[in-house]
Amino acid sequence: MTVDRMTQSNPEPLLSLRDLSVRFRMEGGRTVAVDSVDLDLAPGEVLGIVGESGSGKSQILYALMGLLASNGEARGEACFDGQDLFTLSPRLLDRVRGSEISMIFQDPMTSLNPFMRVGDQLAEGLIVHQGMSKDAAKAEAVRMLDRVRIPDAASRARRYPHEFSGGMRQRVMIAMALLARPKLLLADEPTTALDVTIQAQVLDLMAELGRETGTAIILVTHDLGVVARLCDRVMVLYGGRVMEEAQAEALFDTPSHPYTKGLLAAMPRLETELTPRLGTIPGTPRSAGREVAGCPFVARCEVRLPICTTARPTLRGVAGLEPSRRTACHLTGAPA
Amino acid sequence: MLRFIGKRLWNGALTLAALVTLTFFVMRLAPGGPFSRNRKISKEVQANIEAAFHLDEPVIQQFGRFVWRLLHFDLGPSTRFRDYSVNDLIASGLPYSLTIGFWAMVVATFVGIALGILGALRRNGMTDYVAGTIGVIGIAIPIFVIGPVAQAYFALHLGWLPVGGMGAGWKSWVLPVLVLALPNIAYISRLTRTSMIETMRENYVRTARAKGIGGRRVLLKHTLKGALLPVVAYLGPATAAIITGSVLIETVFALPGIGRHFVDAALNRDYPLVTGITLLYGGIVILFNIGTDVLRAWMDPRLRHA
Repeated sequence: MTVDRMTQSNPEPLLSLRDLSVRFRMEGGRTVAVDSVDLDLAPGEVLGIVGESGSGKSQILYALMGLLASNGEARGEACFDGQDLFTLSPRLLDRVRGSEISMIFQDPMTSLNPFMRVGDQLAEGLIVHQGMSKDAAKAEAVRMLDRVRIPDAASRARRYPHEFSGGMRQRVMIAMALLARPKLLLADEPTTALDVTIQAQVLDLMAELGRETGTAIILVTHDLGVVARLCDRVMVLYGGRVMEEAQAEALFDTPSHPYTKGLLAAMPRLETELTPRLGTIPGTPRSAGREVAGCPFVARCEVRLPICTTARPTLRGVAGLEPSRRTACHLTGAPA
Repeated sequence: MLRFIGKRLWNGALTLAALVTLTFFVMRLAPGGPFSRNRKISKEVQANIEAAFHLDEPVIQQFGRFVWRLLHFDLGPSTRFRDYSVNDLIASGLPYSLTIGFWAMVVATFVGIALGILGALRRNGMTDYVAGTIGVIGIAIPIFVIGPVAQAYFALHLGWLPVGGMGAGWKSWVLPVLVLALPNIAYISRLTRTSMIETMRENYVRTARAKGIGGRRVLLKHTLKGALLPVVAYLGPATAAIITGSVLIETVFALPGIGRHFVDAALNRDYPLVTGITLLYGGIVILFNIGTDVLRAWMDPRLRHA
């Protein structure tokens, strides 16, 4: 399943980010949330972006959607389908948002409009973007609600969000996001707010529908289990910088960056025998802050070298690992 | 929704009944009566007067009589203004208070909401500063200061409008309405601005923006309703208060409204008039609260099952 779709048939990426940085103006200076991230996404590919809280992973998605907080600013290039999202006028951006790129948010309880019938919220996008008639759009909305397994979709469409459970609301969000058959779906921790029992169900549904519509997905999460389940490729983010990038299976088999190793050691696994305790990464996550000279992970790294505090490691191939692997660590690749 | 309205009406009726009982007995708990005077009058005269107003009967019997009259919409005779019933006094003053209050509230609602929305959309812009200034003036400076200043400038200095009274047709209404509207413009615009800014930060508004439906539609279809709910909640009670007359505005502009009657009646221990106006005020407050509740439930489906 995790075929390298990038290298296969479609050389032209759907989305390509070059040197993406997100900065926030704060009292007493600027904060860098995302620091020169490059990314290529093939049509239909599922990419996971993993990282702890404050690693800047969600801000990448908000930057793409033009939804950064008012004191935030995105720099760099975000080429989507031949146009740079960051230079589009608000009107042109609105043509892309909700029709070519959709987004699912973290908190389904508050992300639907409490004053509007669920069916109307779904139909709205079709009416605006595709010029559908109200009735046709509503019929389409009901079909989609049925697809995300909302029972009795026709009468449910006339209800308000507060009459839905959390899991149902997130399925409604998924229906809304995929209704327009977007080329790209951005999912910001879509299951964090849900019960563990329904997380898998919601994720599988999202992936299944994504496959059917040929939609590429960027899935932001801190849950490595989710990544293992759904993603073709993974990008590990720390302190706003990419630490490691690899095919999902390869990353789980042979993590190369000390941070990735730490993350994997901290993840409980069923197949291995019970170890007395899970691994932890010492220290606390480095929250977005001023730019640093060296590697952002250096303070918590157990194998750091003197060079790590002074020089920024670049993202590059690792000797002895598959060619699509990229790691930003002085220890790997270069002779130590 | 019908059940919701029915429930609210029933609650309103109960509240009104409690109000009727309370006002009646609280009035009579206060020492003295309408005809206690420092000047000595003969026992016979005192007894005659009290008999004429049934004040010699046991209190329970008076209450029964009062409720019976009330059920026929008769508030009884005023003990102060001879030959006038309380109904007459209210009927003569209420239209003025209603009209001034109504228009003041219309002006305040439209101007206040518009200023609030514009201020929130262009935060720290020109409109925001103008609205902020009006807000400070309207809230901080009382009517009895603004009123005379407005009279001095628009009536005496410019001569555009009459100083007071009701003798100049529509022009007589302009100053009282605007002066009465000012504090409400201030309050409503502040409330709208805060509420708009809060709502624009809601997750569901972000969802709407992510749908790419355009800024106008995000504002009109997704932001406005939530933002105006607190404003509607304020409008009900505020309208009830303003249309039942303002002693200050009536005094400053020499208007024959009912606000003055209330103060006079209390000072004169005019039992029927005080009870009458209290009930009128209470009834209108209850009615507007029900109206507000229904309007809010119509706007917000989450409130319908409460």
